[in-house]
Amino acid sequence: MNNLLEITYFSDYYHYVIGLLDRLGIVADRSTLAKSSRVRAPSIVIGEVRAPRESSFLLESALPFEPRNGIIFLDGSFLRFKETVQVNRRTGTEILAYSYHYQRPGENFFVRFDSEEQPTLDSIRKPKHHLHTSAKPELHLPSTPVELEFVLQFIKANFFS
Amino acid sequence: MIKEKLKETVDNEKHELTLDDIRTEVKQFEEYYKISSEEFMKLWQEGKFEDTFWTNCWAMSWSFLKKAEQPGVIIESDAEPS
Repeated sequence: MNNLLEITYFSDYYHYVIGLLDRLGIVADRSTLAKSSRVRAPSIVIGEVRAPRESSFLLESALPFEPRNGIIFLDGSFLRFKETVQVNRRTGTEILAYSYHYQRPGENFFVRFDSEEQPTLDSIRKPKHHLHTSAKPELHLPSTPVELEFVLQFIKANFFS
Repeated sequence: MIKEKLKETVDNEKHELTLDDIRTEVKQFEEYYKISSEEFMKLWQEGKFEDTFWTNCWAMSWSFLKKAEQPGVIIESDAEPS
């Protein structure tokens, strides 16, 4: 599963993500996938990969419903995600922080896997790697670190088979 | 060949956020929540700010901009060749 150590260019990571989405076979629309400009320090490059490209929180706060955006799947469910990615020419790619939010409109269901770059001040109440669910969204449930590939396979296995 | 290169350039511009785009996004968060990003990050790390996909984005964008402001770093862009 872990191909990230072999990816030593940021552009290669971005194309790796496109490949993951295209090979999955359940993606209807990935047109809002985007990357950021990169910050290069000696030997490392840091950038962001995300979908949707634009924040829609202002729009959402004005609407009585939540628009679907991000990666749209064939059944209308969607995945919003954002990753901070560090690429080292020698040691490969590391995801420094992420948020993967999968939502199923009409079912009042979402699950979101989060990981923060900086250690949190209360690791019991808010572990570094945690997840949220629609059952009790304010809870930070402890989680192992996950990657986009795992989240996509999780969605496919649980909702498309 | 030229057509392909042109298409690649247009795609890169469409799909790349510049640092200015990210600064604008952060400013929108600050205006919406009526709080500076520094104050937000303090509350965020204490687990005392609402935790949504968008506030995660805010925290990540803010951290990313801080990295971009470090002395000696080079900003690379496909959208705006430096």
